[in-house]
Amino acid sequence: MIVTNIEIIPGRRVLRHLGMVTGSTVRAKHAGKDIMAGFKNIFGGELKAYTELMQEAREEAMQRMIAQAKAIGANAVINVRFATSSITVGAAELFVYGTAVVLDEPAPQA
Amino acid sequence: MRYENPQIPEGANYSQDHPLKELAVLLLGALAIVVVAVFTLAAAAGWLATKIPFATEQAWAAGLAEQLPASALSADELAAQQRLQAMVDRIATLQELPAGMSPVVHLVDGSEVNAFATLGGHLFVTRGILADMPHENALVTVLAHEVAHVKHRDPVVALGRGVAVMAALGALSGFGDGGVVANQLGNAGLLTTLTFNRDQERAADEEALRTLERWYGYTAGAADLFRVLERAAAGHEPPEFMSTHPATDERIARMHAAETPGPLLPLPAEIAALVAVDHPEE
Amino acid sequence: MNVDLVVFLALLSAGYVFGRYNERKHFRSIQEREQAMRELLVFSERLPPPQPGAVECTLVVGSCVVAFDYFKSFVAGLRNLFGGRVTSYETLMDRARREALLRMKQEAAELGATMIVNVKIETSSISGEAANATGSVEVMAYGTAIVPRQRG
Repeated sequence: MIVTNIEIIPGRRVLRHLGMVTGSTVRAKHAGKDIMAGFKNIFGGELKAYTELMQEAREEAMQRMIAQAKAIGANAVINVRFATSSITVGAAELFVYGTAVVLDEPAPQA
Repeated sequence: MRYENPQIPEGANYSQDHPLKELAVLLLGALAIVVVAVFTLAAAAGWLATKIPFATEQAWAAGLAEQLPASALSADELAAQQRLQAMVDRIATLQELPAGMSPVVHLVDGSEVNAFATLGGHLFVTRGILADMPHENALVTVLAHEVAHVKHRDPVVALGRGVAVMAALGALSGFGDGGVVANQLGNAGLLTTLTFNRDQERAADEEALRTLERWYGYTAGAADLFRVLERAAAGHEPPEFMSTHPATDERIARMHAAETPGPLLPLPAEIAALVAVDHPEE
Repeated sequence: MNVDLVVFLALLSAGYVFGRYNERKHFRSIQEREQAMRELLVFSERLPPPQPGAVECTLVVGSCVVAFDYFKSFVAGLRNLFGGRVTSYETLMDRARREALLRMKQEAAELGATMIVNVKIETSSISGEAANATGSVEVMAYGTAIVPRQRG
């Protein structure tokens, strides 16, 4: 499964356009990490716990999008975009979407 | 190039778990956290409470004592109380209480069978329990048990635990909707203030046995005390896990196993005189 | 029995019963309308395919604001203690997003479009910053509808 945010894959041709596929998840970190993040706001610096949270969420959202693409017979998702939003305090939604396509087989090496 | 929108299968972007199942799992988890936190806090506060100097505890108790109704004791009762105080003083010496820790015994006019230790080394003994004492050995056992609570700082530890539980549940009520439940639990928290846990009771029992051994050179009669308590409870004793005192049967068995034989002595004259008033037919 | 507790339990069960009923009804309606508008194609690619005739391009927008019911908020609040996937909000977000896409498609269909390209979706929380404010989320979908120009 090729996942990319460009529209044209060099050397490959799009055979079929299958429309939008989406993946999303809502995630929260446990209260302890929320409190630690609160302390971090005093001193500044990277919020490791939240970086991790967003990465986990992105990973899961991508998996869900890929699952949708597979289910409709695509072999690539192009023009992928991410959208993140904070739904309530401490919970973030990660949303990813793109166009599922069927690409032709790569040309044999000349 | 073909353009189409095939049907995407339903439900890829959300979990299929039943929401009530999720709620149940989360509630259980939250409850577990609260229970663990409250127990940890209570244990920590109990340990910290032992660091409070006994003099401070006595100062608090002085305030408490003023609130008690001044019971007018008759001459007989005063004599009995003095006699009990002399016994408590001897027990204090035998238990090697630290300097400055001097238990004070108070005789309470009442028919209920009860004896307890509270803050500042104050012991309360009812006429009811004296009337049921079969011999001096049992009386020494009950006094030694209460003095042992003072020695182990059990009242202040229990107070520390009670305060910690109240404070923890109070803080919980600050958070959103959980506060409602915490209020209910908070009322229960009050009742547990100044009750000793089973480990504390066992330790006090063992200390009482050692005291008996030093007083008489043998421990006969210790189990009789608990037979009296069992009769007083008259069948409405809650199951062991509900109560902080180890079940009386278990205590009788343990005391009985530890007893060494020896003669049982009659009650001291001042106390026997009181008992005679309570049971004139005997 | 504490009055607060009764109120809380009543809100929780009302949230659960009505929330679940609405959710089922909404999902059914979404599925029906999705089926009805299968003909209108939706893509997130930037460029439309080469068209045989002249076309008009118009921006179409659809949006939907959803609120969390009491039950979902409570479960999500508990979930916040432990961390992990907030399942109670996931169905809500799915519904909001599909509803927004459907409204965008509806607008395009009324214009006589055959296809919508360069579709983008935005999500934003429009509840206040207050810790106890009931949450609501807006989902907006927008894209360019390709409308074949009437001949003759």
